[in-house]
Amino acid sequence: MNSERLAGYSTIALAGIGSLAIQDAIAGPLGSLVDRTLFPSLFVVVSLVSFQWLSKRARPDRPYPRVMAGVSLGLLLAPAPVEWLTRSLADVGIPYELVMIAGLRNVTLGLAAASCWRRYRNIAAALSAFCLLFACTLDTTWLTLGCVAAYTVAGSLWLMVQYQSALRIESENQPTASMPIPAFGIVLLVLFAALGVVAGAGESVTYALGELMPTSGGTGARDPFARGGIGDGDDVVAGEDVQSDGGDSDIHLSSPEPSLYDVFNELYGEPQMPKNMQRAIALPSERIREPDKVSKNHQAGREFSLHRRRTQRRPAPRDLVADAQLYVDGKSPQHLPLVAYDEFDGWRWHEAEHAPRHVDLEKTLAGWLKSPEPEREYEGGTERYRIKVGKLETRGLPFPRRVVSFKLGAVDRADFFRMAYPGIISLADASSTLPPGTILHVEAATLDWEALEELSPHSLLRTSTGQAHADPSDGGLSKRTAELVDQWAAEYPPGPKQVAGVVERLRDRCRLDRDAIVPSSVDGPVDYFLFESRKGPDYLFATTATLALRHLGYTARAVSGFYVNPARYDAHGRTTPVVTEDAHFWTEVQLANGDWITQEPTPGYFRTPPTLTWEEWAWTVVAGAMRYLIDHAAAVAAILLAVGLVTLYRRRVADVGLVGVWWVGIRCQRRASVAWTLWLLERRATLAGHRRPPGQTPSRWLGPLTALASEPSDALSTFLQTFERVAYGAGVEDATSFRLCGQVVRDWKLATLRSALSEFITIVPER
Amino acid sequence: MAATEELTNSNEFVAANGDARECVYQAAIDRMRISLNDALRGKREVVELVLACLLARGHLLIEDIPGLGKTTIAKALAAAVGGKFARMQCTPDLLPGDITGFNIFNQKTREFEFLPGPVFADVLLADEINRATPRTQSALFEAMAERQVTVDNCCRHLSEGFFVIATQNPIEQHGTYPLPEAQLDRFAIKLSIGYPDPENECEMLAAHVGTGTQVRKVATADITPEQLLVLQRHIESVAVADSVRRYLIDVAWATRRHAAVTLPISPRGVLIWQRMGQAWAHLRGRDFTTPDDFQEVAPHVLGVRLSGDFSDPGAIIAEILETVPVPVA
Repeated sequence: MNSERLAGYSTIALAGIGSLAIQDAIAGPLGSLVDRTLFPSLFVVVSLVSFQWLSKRARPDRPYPRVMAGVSLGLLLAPAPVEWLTRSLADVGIPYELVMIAGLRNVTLGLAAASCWRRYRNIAAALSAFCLLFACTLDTTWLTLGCVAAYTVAGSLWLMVQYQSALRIESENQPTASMPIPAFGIVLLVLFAALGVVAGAGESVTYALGELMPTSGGTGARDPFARGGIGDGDDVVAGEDVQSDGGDSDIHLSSPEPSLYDVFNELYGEPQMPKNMQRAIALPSERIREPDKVSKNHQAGREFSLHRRRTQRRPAPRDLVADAQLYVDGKSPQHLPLVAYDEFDGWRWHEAEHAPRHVDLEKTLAGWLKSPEPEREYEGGTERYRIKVGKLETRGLPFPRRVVSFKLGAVDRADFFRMAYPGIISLADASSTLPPGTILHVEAATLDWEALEELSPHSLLRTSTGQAHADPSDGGLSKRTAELVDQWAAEYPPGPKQVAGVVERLRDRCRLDRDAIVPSSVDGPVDYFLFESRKGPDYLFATTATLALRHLGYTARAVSGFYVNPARYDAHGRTTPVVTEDAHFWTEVQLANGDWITQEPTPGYFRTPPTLTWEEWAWTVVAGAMRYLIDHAAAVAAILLAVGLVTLYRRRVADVGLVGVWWVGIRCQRRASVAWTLWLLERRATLAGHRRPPGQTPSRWLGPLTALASEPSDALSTFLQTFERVAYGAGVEDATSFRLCGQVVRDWKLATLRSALSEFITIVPER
Repeated sequence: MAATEELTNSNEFVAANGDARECVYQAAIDRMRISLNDALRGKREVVELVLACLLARGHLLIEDIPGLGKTTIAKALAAAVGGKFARMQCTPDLLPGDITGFNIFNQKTREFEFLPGPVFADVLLADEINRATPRTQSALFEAMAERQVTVDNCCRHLSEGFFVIATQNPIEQHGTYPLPEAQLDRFAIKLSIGYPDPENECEMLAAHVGTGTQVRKVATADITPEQLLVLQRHIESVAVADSVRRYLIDVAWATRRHAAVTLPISPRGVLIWQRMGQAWAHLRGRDFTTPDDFQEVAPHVLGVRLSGDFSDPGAIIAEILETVPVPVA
């Protein structure tokens, strides 16, 4: 292989790697491996084929073909109409910057295909480097890193080949076209002018130039296909390195947005006071004259009643996405606790009286507030989250459990925060709430649930020593419920396994029905839920689990907040919107070290899995693949059988296809029928493993076959003569040659040609 | 004799057209072919190449050891063409004037008279050309290329069918002046005759029994110089398809790109190669060329032109021909 061709191949390799990196960025985190590799592979194949075609027809003695300028422009603009079509027809699209870089990728591959010309080769290599760098700025996945490594190797090879090729070209005194001095001059002029404007006009111009970048967020415009749900549009720009981020939001103003209490009312319906409860409350005489204060609860989040009216669901989930309360960029599923309830009076959960206390936080150099708590042995790695407050107005910080460190804009002092409930942080100022647009950066530890279950029974805080306990008079379990719970608990050893087992049994016994309500006529909601309806909303699961765990002596509490549902993940925004329907109740038990551990009693809701190591991830992938194969055994077997048959008879299958192409080709008359027939014979010989050497003429290649003592040799000999006359002389085809071609195709079938060529190869001397 | 009859019908030879013309031309070529094969037994390919070179208006360089028939085929060719034959034994003291001719003062007429040199023959055998000095070689090369010589500022044209057969001995290099690589381009092809096979050598011995060392003489010419010119002009009309022409260029550029080749084929060499291919196709009875024609003459056409860091030009040429795709449509 000569150096020019090797240089072309290496250039295509560079362009292919750049294309792969770009496609990886376009596919996003949800894209499968096929999404990331299919199109680059196709593009590279097209580029390779084009390169082969151009290499055979390129005239190095001619100047560079200027038509490539038009071709490049077409390739650059091609993604725009495609994007318009996909957005219009399928409501699928990519951000404008990716459309632009896709066009640049096309140009790179197009020029790589024309890399038999040195200048195009150089431009393609430079553009491929730009594509790779651009992709690295968008995302850093394992595939991107692999592309960088591959590019390093291929780039080194490309440089070496270029050097050798340059030596050859200089020795050959190859004619070259004159350099486009005016074009370079214009580019330099524009660059100098831009630098001059920026240097002279200062920051205002820099900001203005930055806004030229679509979907960068600086313009305040919103695009539904913009990249990054957090950080796009309006006045917020998300940075990858949040530790070095100077702050996303300094907005801490009050606003009329809904609070968590309003969310509950909207989701579960407004609470209603049962008549018997109204009678049970003893009021002073002065308050009897103000009944509104009795029947209404203005203390949002302070208590939660299980008496609820049926509420109307929002029919359009699309609107819910638009009205998200929070946007979470991070691992899901996830529980975001906001309010903890300690006391239960039989119908209502009350927030326990809790003296707000100071939060122990250490400020880091980067402006983060870090928890001084030591790492626990049951932690499963840390995860980073970016949480953008949507419509929700809350004083509590919607953080996951086990916060390691967090950052809230420029609010970097520990005394700005307080511990609203044990383990739940909120703003210290009671009148302040997190307004929409606030972005919270959090680093939190995940929990290794298997390690937790292996903890000793003493690791759990028992009621006798804990602060939370059930009051048997108004919040305890009835006798039959207690018996049921005891029956469940007997199956497990005391400790974390018993807690998990009881919760699991509850999940199995009842089913989730958000529309189910507990009639006010029943004696107790838990009994009704466990033994009569056996269905209900999540707060009934949480209440039952909490009371059951308290009955068993564990310190437990009900917690409300939001559930980050992975099913809502928005690939466009790369975030998980948390909508009103994600308001959620669950249970927490306390460990002896003070940590509150999430327990999820509601079916359909799950706890956050621990962060996987590479080995665990690989095993998960393998296990998932195996599970898929087992689940689809019949389909997989059918596909494997089909692939096997096609592989086994691939030559025959390919030959049938080739004959079909030949049959159509000779009737289209685009080429002479003898040319089509020779094409078919060549392809058949290639299938038979005896490809015609490129420097061998058809007569020299097939001529010896005519000497073989076989019937078809006459037709082949005549065919070769006719071919030479038509292809190289002034001969024209007639009906005879048409029939002759058919005869040759019938005589020299794949098997015949293979055996004849094999025999010929053994007897023919080298030229 | 049939040949004599043909010679008497020169006018018919020139005026023939269509299929008749092809028959007449092929008959004339066949007569020359027979004569040359009689003179040089068992060397049909060499004879074909010599004929192709003659018809392509090229010049022939035969490089071989002594005694293999270089002079024999040159003489046979001169006799077959029927033109004037001259032989020039090159030695270091051979001067350019000895080749081109010179003016001599005639005492009787009191004028200078031009005595033409051997280059004014129709077929010139330059034996052991590498023993002539470069100055003399250059004079011969100029005559070969221009088909004219200039003596005392007077330009004199050579025969239109001027054909040079030069020989050189590849093994005895002492006291020789190797031909400049760039000047080798003046020759169309370079041949090596080689030893005859045993059967043909035996026939040769039998044919010489009773004649001793006496050289057989060709009684009559097969064609006239005029007829040769007609044939040469006819060769130029053999068709070369665009795709085939492009193929020639591709091969030429392949020689120019090849790492081991320092002196590739020149455009003039490509022109000669095209003419050789045309002549070869005509010798095969075709009025069009195929890539095969050019591939078959390529070792001889390119072999005299390519030079570089290799010992076996044939291997380089074969490598290039194998890698450059031939047109098939």
